[in-house]
Amino acid sequence: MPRFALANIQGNILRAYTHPLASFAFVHLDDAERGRAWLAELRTRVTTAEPWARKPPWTVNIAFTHAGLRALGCTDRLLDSFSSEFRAGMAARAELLGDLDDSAPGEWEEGFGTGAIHAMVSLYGLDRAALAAAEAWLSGLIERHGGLRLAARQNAARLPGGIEHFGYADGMGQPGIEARGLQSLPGDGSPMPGGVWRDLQAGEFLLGHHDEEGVLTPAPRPDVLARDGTYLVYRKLRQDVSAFRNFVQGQGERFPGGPRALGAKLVGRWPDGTPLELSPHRPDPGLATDPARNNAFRYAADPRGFYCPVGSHIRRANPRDGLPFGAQLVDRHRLIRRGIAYGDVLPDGAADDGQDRGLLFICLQADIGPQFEFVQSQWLNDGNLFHLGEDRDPLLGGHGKMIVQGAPPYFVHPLPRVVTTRAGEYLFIPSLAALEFLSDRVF
Amino acid sequence: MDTGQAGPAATATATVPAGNLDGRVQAITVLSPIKPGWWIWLRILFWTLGHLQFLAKPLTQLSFIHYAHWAVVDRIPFNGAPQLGARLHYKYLLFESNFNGSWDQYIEAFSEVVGQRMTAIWGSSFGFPGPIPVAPFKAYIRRNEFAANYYWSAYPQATTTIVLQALELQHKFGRFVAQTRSMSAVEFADAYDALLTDVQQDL
Amino acid sequence: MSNVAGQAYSLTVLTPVLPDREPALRASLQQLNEGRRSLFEQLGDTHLVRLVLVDQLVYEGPPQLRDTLTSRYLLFTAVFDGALEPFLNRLCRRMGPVIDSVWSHCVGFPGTRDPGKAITYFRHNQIDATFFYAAYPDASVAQVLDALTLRERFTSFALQAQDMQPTARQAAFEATFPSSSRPR
Repeated sequence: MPRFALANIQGNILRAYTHPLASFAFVHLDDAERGRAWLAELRTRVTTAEPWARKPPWTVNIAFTHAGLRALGCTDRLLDSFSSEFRAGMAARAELLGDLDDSAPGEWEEGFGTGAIHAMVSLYGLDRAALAAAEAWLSGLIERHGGLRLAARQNAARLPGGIEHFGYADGMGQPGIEARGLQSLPGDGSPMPGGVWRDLQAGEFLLGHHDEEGVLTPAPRPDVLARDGTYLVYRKLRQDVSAFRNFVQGQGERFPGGPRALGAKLVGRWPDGTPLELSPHRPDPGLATDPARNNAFRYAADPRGFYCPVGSHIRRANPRDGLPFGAQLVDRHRLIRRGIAYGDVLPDGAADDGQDRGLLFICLQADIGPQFEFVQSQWLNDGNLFHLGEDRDPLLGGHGKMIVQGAPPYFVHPLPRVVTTRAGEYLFIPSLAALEFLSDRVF
Repeated sequence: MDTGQAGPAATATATVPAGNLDGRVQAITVLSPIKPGWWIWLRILFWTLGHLQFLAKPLTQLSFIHYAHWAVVDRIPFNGAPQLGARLHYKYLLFESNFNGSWDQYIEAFSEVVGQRMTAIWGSSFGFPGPIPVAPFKAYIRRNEFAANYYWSAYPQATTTIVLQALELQHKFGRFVAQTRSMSAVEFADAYDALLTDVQQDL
Repeated sequence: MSNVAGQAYSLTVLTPVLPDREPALRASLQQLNEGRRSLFEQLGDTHLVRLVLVDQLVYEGPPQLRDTLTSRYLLFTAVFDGALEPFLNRLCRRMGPVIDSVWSHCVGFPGTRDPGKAITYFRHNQIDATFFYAAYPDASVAQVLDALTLRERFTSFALQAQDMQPTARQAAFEATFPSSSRPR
């Protein structure tokens, strides 16, 4: 059983932070030597995966883009050993990811997708004061070292009730990971016969460990740079809350069951998190708030999608045993999700206030191509693998139709555009030893 | 994916040689040298596969492939000078497939789901590393693969799944039209709902 | 017959390229790419066509001995409906100039001026399939195209009909799918 060197792994990978506030600092390095000196000091404050006796008021973590590793002074040989997707960067993958029109990289916030963003420093805080202290520390560090600047900053704050801005409970359904030292929740692993859930191999999410094939995932070299690291996908997704609410309300009036039921069919869960698969007709608050039950369901008994539509968001994002051949075509495409909401809540019934709000979608995986990009392009932005033709995810798709299966079926159309990509990067989260390697070795 | 591969930024189709793609359908052409004597096994194997649906069933379930064929190339036809008679040490296994989805996804699905059948077929060729893990399997296919110079489909935007769904719908629609020919508007409404319930997985 | 699955036929032809004609052949193939999409549509009943230049054989290292091709080869595969002879007839009669532009670079090609001779040439160089898999072996090109069109039209109708009064659907259906033009 693999034992993790928790002191070598950055925090918020194996176990999610629960700090309610966050601030993401996107840094640009002008000078390699001073950048490394800055990193040498920053890394002494990096929060690791070691268990806490007491929750720290604020945490520090860091990840780098490919351009950032180059800016630090990494050699071409080292840079070329990273995965092709990471080297290309998210902006170059726009067509594959469906980042077109308003979501195209050309429309993104300043600096993103241009190679100007070198590092992402993630600060999480227990409260405003703690976060302010963290930000002050980071600013001080940047100022003292010089040779680098803040290219962008993004604040975030979890919404009360653990929901995202469309009003749905979020964050459930994380992959169960082997030998993590945490009891995985039912439903998190791979669905096995007999109602059992098998934890996934660590190498799907952490480099330098065995993956679901039993081998080491292709990883950068040298080993010290790769081991215990992972790739981070960052996407700022703006949510048009009033458009979504108007749509659900409007279509919902024609939908048998009403707006609430329609919304649940789009997502795959009721707003409180009750899975449709377990309770297709009404939310069940006791079930929704019980982590041992709110993710313990499968799809093989509902192949037609009469309980949870085949094209609903959560079923697309993780089909479990809903594809042919058990979970074999699913197990290698799982993601650790660490997203957090940003922007103020739009009160129920309020008109569109033009404010920027949404989700900072963050996912972690050992291999961006077969994991994040596969989920995005094959499961969310297309329907062919589910026998749904060219239909897309109802929340992210932005056009076309969704079939709510039933006797008879109901066609939801046209799907409105309610999510826009505003910024994105592919990043690499180095281990603590890798951070030392990056800051202290002379290249 | 593939590490250590320098070069310009990859785009969605950059890894697909242009000649291999038409709309949503992709060509793969593999020619691999068969170990001495093993071609006999292959002929028996394919005869068995053909008769027992042993390979066809999972291929249909995967629903990636429109058409695929294997050929044991035991002689290259001679057309006279200036063609030089080909004196080859081995027979060759030619594999051609027309499939949807990315090349990587295709090979991965084969590796995961029909790995034993892949071994039965390509185990008789030199250099086959086994279907799992998938990285060496992909490298093997790439080494033995030829890019098409020209590729054309009569319905390039239709995936195999969509074609099958469309044919299924066509069949049910035809039956519906025949059955509802002389129905009243009310009867028709009920029959139409029943049709929708029946064809919803085909749309 | 292993070239056949249902009503589909898979034809593979391997022909040697004349010495030094590889660049010209590549250029001809490139021209096909730049040509009209409907080029092979005129053949009728053809699902897929591919042309592949085989320039050298794979060498996987010891214990394999290296095989060397003394000529380059052109691999041509077509999947079509029905029997071989009618297909080759259509190929050589309807697409003469295109066929000539490609195969004139191959050893022994007699040209399509006498279609019979060209047909004999293709048959001589045919490589039989050992196993042919077809996902929809009984569906012709025409049937597939009809079905795809129907799927689009029916989906579009279903979206509109959803908002209608149930008893109004019959009239709308008949207007969209008139009995005279309904697919079989």
